[in-house]
Amino acid sequence: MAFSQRLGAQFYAKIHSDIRARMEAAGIDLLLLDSNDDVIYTTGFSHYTTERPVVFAITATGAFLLIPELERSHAAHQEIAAEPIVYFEFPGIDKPFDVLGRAFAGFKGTVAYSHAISLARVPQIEAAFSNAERVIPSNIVQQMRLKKHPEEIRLHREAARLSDKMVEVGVEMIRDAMRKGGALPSEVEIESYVSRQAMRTMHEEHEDVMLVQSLASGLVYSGQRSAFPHGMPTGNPVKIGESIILSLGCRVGGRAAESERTFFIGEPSKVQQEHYAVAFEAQRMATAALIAGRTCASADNLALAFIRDSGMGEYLLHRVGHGMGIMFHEPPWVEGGDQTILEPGMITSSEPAIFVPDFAGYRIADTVLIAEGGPDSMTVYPRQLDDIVVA
Amino acid sequence: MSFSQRLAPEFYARLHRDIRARMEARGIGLLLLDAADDVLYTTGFSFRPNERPVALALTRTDAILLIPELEREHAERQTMAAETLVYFEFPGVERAFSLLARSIGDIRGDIAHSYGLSVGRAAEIAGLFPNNRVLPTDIVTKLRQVKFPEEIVLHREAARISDAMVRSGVDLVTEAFRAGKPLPSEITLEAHVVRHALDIMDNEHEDIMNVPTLAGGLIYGGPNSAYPHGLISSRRIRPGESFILSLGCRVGGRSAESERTFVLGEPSKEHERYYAIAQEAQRIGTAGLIAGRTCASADITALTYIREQGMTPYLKHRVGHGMGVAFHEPPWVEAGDQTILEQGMICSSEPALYVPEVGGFRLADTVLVTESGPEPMTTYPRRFDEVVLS
Repeated sequence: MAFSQRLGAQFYAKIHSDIRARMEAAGIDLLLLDSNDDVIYTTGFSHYTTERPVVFAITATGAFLLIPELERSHAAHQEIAAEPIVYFEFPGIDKPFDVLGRAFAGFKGTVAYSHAISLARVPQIEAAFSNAERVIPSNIVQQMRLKKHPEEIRLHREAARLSDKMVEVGVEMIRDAMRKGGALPSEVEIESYVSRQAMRTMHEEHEDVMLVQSLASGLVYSGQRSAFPHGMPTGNPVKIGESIILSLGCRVGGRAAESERTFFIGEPSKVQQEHYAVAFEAQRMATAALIAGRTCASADNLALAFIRDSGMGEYLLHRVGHGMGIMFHEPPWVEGGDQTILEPGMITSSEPAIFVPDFAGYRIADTVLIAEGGPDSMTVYPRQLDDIVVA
Repeated sequence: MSFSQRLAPEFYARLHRDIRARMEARGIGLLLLDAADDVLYTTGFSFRPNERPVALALTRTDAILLIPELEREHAERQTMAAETLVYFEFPGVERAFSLLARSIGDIRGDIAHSYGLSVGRAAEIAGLFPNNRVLPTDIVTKLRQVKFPEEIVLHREAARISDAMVRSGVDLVTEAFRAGKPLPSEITLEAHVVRHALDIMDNEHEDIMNVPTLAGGLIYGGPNSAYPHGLISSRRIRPGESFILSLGCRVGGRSAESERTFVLGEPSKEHERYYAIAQEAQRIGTAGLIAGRTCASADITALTYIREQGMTPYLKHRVGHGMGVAFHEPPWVEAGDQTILEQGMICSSEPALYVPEVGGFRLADTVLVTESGPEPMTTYPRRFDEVVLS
């Protein structure tokens, strides 16, 4: 039986009823959500974001999705949990938000939108709902998204399994090239190969792939370049004696996971081993600290203090991690400034790292579920020194 | 002599002067730009955006780029037109914009930001500058619409490479077809043409600006192409069907796109008929991009032609969009946009037909609005006999 990526109608019914309960408590009569990720979360509609607004609109009784004509048939093909309201184009003679406003003619209550909305859209909403009592920001759905439902965790788990597989495939590609004694692959070649393999696996093993942006992709850095992880692979070939970071992830049913390991190409030197040992221990500590009831800040402080105490404070470039859900990066932030209390059902990355200038970066990342019984790492690719030497 | 993607310091100096003159005229003492494309435009700093703020703060005398620690070394390696101010992390024990406000100190005049700023960040900034008015401005959005000659050089190169991407996709399909091998899937084609674009840049450019979506595209075959939703699949190209290659790249962070519809093998009468209408509508769309006329007029002329051919049910979108640092940016070549076209603007021209069960028919060019008329910078052949592949 093939794996199904789609969440059923009951899932969305549950989400909508949860949103409605929170709207009622907050005195909101109409909630508008215009970000790609909120739209996926509330309707299951996946689209490519452009300047054309796509907006979920929910009231006590109805659920609608404002879409451009361009998306009409696409929406009809996806079984979305909302009734479409279609405008022709952007910016439009008949403006998208005016079309939306007319669908709620005579509306008088409170309209809310998310804090992430662009400032330019607020006056458009105010104009379209000119009789509204109030037009205000709300974080209802942002809060809901922090904790995952069991149906979502199943998708994250599958994404985590595939992410581990991407790492495995990437390592195999390098190992193969070494065995054959030919040129080693470049960062771009590895990234492109593993992404394509992951998409192929999905299409083979899943019955209904939800096509989203960044379906499968990653970052690949080797040698000195891995010391400044700015997010863009190059044509640099992998070299023996260097290390390489494979940071790979995918989205299953629009739910994200990532798996990341640092590998040594050939036997590592003593210095490389020392660096790795610190990154390894910091990441173990960080994951162990993702405990329900504690703050996000505490996990970050603990792991970063370990790195500083190991005399590697100058090699720190970032926090322990970030929440994952529809997006690869979303709240809560596992960082010293985020006092969010961890709860069962949250999913975060654990990826403290050190980056030694002009030498190399060392990072291990897992996708971790906060569970009743403690942190549950959903990515499990091996990480002991022996496991990550490619020779 | 290889091609240089980087704009010179003089470019940014002039740009900052232009922006400051406009700030002065409006009583703005501090301009904050936090969109990745505005940052690239004003400083030459390219990065992969995430939740960590990156923002240019431009005052009467200073240009400061706020970046996270993660980008420090990356910023040091790019020559950019701003000093850096580094915060450690997001959200941060000390938040990024608090650090910025503290470093800048008192500002005389208003504080302005772009309209694209999020409501949440606007509130944060207003809280940090309690003694100033904080308001949105379109200064940089407007400046970006008319390209400088140095930018046009980059767009032209991006257009040339976009055409080469289309050519490499066509070659991959026809070679497999002629050899009787399995035809490539949409995903495989995409990987191939992207690789081709990167190879050209690697071999011919001395200093690639590594931006997100350096090269990319949309590829749809057969009935898939009738609903262009922007996400490619693993479906293979099939003989007897039409397919769309919609490909583009960014050179020095300046974009172009080239798009053609092809038929593999024997075309049907339907293919020929729909293609002829799409081609003529696109010719009209391009011809309407004349300095002094409105964007709306070009859209209306081309869409009216399609409607008069009885093809209204197959219309799904406008003629086009502006192109610059972003693939899609103002002005919009659409009936609701009354922007007057000016020399130096660059727009796509891509009216199209989408016929359910048959396919989509779209040709897109990257067009420069010049003194002497519209100039398509992408020139891939487009006659019907040139897009029928065998």
